[in-house]
Amino acid sequence: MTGPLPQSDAAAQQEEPPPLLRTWARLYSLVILWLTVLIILFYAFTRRFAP
Amino acid sequence: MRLADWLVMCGALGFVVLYGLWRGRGSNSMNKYLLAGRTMPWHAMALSIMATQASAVTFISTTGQSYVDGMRFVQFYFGLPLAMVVLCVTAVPIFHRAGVYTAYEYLEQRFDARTRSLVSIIFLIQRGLALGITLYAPAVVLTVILGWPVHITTMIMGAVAVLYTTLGGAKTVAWSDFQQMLVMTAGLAAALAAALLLLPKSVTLPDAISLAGAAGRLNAVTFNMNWNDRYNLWSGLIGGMFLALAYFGCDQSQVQRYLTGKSVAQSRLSLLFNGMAKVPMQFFILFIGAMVFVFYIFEKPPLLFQRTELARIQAPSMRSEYEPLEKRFNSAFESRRTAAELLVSARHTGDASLKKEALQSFGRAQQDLDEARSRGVALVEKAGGSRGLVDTNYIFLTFVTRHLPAGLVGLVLAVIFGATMASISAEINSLATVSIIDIYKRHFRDSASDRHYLGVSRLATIFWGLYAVVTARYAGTLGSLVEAVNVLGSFFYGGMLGVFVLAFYFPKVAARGAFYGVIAGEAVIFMAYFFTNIAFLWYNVLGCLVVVATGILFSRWDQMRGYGNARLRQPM
Repeated sequence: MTGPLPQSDAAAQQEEPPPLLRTWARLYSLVILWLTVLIILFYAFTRRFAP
Repeated sequence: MRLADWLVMCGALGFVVLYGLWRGRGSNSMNKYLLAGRTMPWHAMALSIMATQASAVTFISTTGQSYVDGMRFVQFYFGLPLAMVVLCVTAVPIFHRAGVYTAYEYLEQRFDARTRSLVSIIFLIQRGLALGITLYAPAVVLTVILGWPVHITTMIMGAVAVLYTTLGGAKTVAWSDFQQMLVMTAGLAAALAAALLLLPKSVTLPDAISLAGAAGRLNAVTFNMNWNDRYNLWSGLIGGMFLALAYFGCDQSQVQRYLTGKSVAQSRLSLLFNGMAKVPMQFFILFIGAMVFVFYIFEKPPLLFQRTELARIQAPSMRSEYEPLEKRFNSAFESRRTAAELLVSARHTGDASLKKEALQSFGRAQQDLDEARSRGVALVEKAGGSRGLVDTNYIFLTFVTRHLPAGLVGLVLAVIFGATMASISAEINSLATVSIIDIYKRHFRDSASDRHYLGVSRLATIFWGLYAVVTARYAGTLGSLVEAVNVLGSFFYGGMLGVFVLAFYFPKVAARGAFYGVIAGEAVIFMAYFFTNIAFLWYNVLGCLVVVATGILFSRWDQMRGYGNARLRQPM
């Protein structure tokens, strides 16, 4: 079996905060919010230019 | 191709490759060659991940898809941001903690060697077949431009990609992808600007958008829930999310990109950036296709965009059938152009009744044109050409090569070739990694020197390059390449995703359940393909659910018999 690679402190790595919004949960929320906004904009675009 | 085009294309590509090789120098161990020594920052990984997805197929076929079917293909990507969040929470920290080279290596830690081997082989089959399609697309470009046969152009493209990947390893792949993504963005912006500038002076951007909308090409979001409809909001959000989960969570060509990260945080950031940028990028590419459609409202397009097939039906023996068809096509084109001019005029004057009348004429003319093109396709078949010809892949190329100014053609071609190199190098790199780590090292030779593994990794890279050249010869029969590559992925991704879901979320499921779950999932996907009309995006959901259900039932059964407990291993 292939042995695991040398690894740094995994627990510390997981706790490393994101560079913005301070927590990962907030950053994930931002991504989902961004998707929601895009879908709404695309829908408005579709409706506005429908034949 | 003019001299300026050759200079721009060779200059852009040469710079990208040399820059990548320079950044990737010193890849003298297996860890550095396959995982860039785990030193990559998030921005390089993010653009590398995007460049790996954006093959030549993306530019050639997606724009053509928009030309014939509108922008609804963008919905295919709606599930991707959701998948990125799920993977950041689960797969990224688990893979980092496990310290693996491949995603499948983790399956042995969690289940057993048999499950790892099964999923590795499924990956090698699926990605190996897709590799042929990735290589075929730019070969089509060279064929259109230079008129060389496809098998020669696939060989040239394959040789360039293999040389580049063999020399540099994962670090070169990542840094070259980074630069290629920048060239791609510049090239696409230039293509859109050119499409708009080439419109008649009286047609403004709002007019162009309005005309594309009148032809139903701006249908970016459709809500109709139909299991047989390939692209709607629901199939995109649910099926697309499962496909993206599988692609980014279980496909080594992507997993390897974020395993090169310095830390969990860097890998997460790269995926989240991809999640935010991918949907607007695809919208932008599809919008270019819609604008190319508008361009061809005022500039007569060929009846068929594939020149060799068009020449076939223009032959003297087919003249009696071709000439009336061409006449009908020309007449429909003129009617559509006149209606479009009326529509623009009505927009400018605000004349509602004229607008209504022009819209009706425009719709009728568009129907006539579509009908003439369909008859052209039937005529190709009658003349002994391709059956059910789909010339989607040739539309954007025809526009670029016939209408863009000198220099810009070279830039757009650099985008197409650069995208191919980005995808193929990452795919070959990942195929070589799985072949060596999960098959060769695991089953044939587990204690050789690092130098030995580095050497066989390079040999495996060359092998997969040759394999790509051979399978590319069959890709031409698959119709729209962007659909073909995703349909192919959907045959296998559901099963692969299912086993990782079991590994991450179902600690009580043991090895036997996972192994037979994958087999059951794949069997159901192929049955769905052969015996139902379910749209392909749903295969990912179906396959995954069957694997999970079978895995749970098997493990329950084993536990009741007192068989599975001894083999149970917890997620890391």
